[in-house]
Amino acid sequence: MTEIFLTIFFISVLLFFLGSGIWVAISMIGVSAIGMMLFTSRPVGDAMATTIWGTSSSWTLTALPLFVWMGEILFRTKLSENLFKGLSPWMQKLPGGLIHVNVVGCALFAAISGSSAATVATVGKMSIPELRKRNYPEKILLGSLAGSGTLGLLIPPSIILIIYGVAVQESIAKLFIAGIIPGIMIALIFMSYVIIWSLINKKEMPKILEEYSFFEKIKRSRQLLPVILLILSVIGSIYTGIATATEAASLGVVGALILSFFQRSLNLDTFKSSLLGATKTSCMIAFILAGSTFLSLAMGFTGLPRNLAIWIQEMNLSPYVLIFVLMVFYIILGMFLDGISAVVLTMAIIEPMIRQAGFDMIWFGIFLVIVVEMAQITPPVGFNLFVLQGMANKDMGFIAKSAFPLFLLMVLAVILVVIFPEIALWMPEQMVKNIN
Amino acid sequence: MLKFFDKDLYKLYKFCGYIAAFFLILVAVFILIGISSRIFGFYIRGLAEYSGYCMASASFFALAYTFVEGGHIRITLFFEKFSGFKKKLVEIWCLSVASFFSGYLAFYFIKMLIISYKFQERSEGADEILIWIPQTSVAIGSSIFFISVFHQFILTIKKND
Repeated sequence: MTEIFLTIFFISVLLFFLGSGIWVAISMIGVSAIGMMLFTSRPVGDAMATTIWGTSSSWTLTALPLFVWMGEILFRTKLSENLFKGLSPWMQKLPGGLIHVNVVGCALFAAISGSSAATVATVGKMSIPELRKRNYPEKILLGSLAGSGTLGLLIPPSIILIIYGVAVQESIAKLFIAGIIPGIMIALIFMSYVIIWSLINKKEMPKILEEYSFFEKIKRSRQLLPVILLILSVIGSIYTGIATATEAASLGVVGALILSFFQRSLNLDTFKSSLLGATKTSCMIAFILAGSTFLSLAMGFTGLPRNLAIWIQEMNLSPYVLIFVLMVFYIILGMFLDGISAVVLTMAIIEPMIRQAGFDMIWFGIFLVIVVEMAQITPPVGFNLFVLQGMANKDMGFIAKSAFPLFLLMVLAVILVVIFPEIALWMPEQMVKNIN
Repeated sequence: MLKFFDKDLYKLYKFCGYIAAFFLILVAVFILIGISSRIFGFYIRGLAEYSGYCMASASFFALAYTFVEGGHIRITLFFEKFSGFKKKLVEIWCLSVASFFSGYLAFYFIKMLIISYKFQERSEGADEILIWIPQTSVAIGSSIFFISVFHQFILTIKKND
């Protein structure tokens, strides 16, 4: 009985720390230290130092700063301009016109960057002013951008999948490859939505003004070719097993530097700011990951994860019900937390339960990332909404409402991935065959 | 007098940020050496471990710099509802908890370093390096992080609205 009481106390302190505005990593470290003192007589501080040192210096984690850096370098090239110029001639004949640039642009940038805020910012920088100039309705313009930006989390490289992989000790390469088909599927679902929306609201959509010959189209998208080559070589080297995720990341950094050199956007200033930006972002992530490993350790002593796993097993839930409950849980959590924090905070409790229930951990990672993606566009805390609010000068409520249909479409995507797990698992299985 | 001290501290944080950035470059360099070693068929022991140590050093040296630049994630949802004196109180609460636990972290990293040095412990990986060497940067980084948090704590208390 006292154990239950202590566990409730433990969780309450964690929520209070987080809610009162204490930095997420510090909250986790603090609560874990308090928790361990309550539940064990082991030397807390020494255990903390060893655990945090262990994760922070692990080789798998090195993929993280490198992918962040690669994205930071390309973010400072003329990429957003090139994305718009290169994609728009191909998209404007589709019903929905240049709105598709948002979706395809985000999907492409997602393959460079692992963050959804950066994806929204890069694509939106060009597409918001350009589409407004052409009188596209704000609702579909901002909604599609907010929704598609979330692809940054799913399409590899994905920072959140690296975090997940490190936390549950699964292959990051496999997780990356598993994210490809679901990512493309969601992009296609979004494009279908744009087509249907624009057919229904035909009157609001602007007329197409520009005409390009095939040759002109090619000429305009030529600038995109090096980026696409870079994406293909990074992901391709992981898929074929030539390089590990970390090695592919370091090659990606070199490729990005060469690319920005030839586009004349590489100078001492952009090099420095990209490097410092990457240093800050990866420090922030590494710190909360450090906190979360300590939290896992402390959680283990509370017995909560184990008891929860047994309890769930005894309830004999069907896997669908369990997954549904988890989806609702993460959507609610995502309203208040950013994606990475939501994953690292809960993995300590959820992991034993998922393994006990017999789910494939790679598959669960993809499921989790799609659900966390939805959290990026749900108020009151949705990172894509914050970014767009600043960029588009619209209030968050309007953007959230515009993005809501895309939120529902992501629910549909989750349902598809639950019913047909092959969507996520087919590619990694092929990969294993390739390597062996 | 104190103003000068403030400025020096911010310089220190920034300097640590640059050290962290340097370690980040080293991570990439070690991995690139690893790739070329496979292509050209030579072997260097412990490259993976070295890049891991650089990763840890980069993360911990950057802590203070990231902190003063506002890079660490926190939930500001409720925090932003307050204003004036109440906001200051909440900020002091956050910073005092953060000061305590960052100090706690730094203390135990220094202790870990001292123990590793005393017993001349070696890494269990292929590198077999004396483990106190890479642990030094983690101890220094977390100590400077504590200084930066405590520094902000003092500044917030002294601030008049």
